Amino acid sequence: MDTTWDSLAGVRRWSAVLGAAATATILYGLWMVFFWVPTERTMGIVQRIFYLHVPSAWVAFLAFGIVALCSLGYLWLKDPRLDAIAVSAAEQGLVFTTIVLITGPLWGKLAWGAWWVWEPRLTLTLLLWFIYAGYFMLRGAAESPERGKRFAAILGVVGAVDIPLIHVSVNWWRSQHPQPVILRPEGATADPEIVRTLMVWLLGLTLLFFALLLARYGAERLGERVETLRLRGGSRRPAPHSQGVSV
Amino acid sequence: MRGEPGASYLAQVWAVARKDLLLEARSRERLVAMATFAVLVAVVFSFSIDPTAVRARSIAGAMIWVTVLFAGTLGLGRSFALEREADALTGLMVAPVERGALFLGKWLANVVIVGAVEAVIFPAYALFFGLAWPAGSLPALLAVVFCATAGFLALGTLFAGVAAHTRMGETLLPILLLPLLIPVVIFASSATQRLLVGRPVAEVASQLRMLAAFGLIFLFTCTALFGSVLEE
Repeated sequence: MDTTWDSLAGVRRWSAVLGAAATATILYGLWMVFFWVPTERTMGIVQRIFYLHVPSAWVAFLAFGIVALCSLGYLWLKDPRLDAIAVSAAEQGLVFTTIVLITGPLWGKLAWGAWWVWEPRLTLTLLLWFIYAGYFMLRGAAESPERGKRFAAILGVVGAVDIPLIHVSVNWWRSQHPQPVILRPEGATADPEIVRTLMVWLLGLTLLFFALLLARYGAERLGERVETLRLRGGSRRPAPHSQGVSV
Repeated sequence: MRGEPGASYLAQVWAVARKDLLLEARSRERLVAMATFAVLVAVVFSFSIDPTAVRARSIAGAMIWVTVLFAGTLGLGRSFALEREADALTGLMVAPVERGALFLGKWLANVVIVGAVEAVIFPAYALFFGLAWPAGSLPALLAVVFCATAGFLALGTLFAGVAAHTRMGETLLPILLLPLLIPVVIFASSATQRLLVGRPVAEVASQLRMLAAFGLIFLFTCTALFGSVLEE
């Protein structure tokens, strides 16, 4: 083999370690949510969805930050590893914004009496979801994989510049509209047991995020190698199973 | 291309813009398509609004900016499609023009063309829905329209260049653009609406500031990023 590739064994090992830690933390967190933490007084049982909702939002925005930084780095340094990290983070961003967008309305229906309220943070998450969705459409539709990576990185950078502006404008827009009667979740988190449960979940989902990030990164790099080898091998002799397709 | 080596940056910007505007002046295809589409949207809006339930005057700002964004996006798709045909983009790239100047030239041409379309949209809405802006609010309205259009087309020109190099092409453009343009939608339609109903000009100062900031930020960001669109 004339090409030397950096070993992915470390990536796999760390992914497994973090994954085990995430599993343990989340199991502990589940136990806390269902058996240990007291029911919040004003909101009742439905408040418990916040232990999944709030940390998911945090992970979604963390993912977006990583996508933005790695995209900027990729445009600058052209290092495929940065693109692999960005796409791995973006995939999880899409998953975790989806979780936020599912758990938010579930809670909102009971707390606000409406499935959807244009609450600034929920609105921002929705727009973030659309930007992530565009990220993958753009990647898939580009004429060459190289272009796809570059274009996705451009969207990653532009999105990061735009998100604070969207946040400001949505806040401003909300301030012009009548507010719904909101049971403010912030007011209720003073209870130390609730705070502790939330912290365990924050830790658990953050660990899960990094475990999946590494696993996905390893898979992405491996996919690139397979592609390189396939192209190289294909020029010498077609693989037996691809004979029917060769032109 | 008139951008000789050593030609100043602004001269390069102008050379690119002039090329696009000359092409448009000769064919007028984008302008006619966008303006016709925009007026059609206004017509469709007037059929879809129940006048006994809602007064068009109360939602005119929203309708106008939805029309501007949709008509603008429709025309933007062609902004680079033309360069892709006969590989004119390669010619542009080997011309002694900086990438940033190339972007700003394309942006400037798009601002002029979409500005011309807006000059159709506003009177069309005024005609169909019986709207009249107070005379004193016109400078503020022009400032709002200019700043909003500048910001819209900074992102629009960048992603038109991106979308032109994808298989989905112009279909992808609105999906990428619309979420990013939410600030423009919010501030431009609110300012247009307030000026329409005769609120004092000072009341739209904050919207105008936000639109100007949005325009400047993305003009800078997109100019810097445009080089990455063209790289081979």
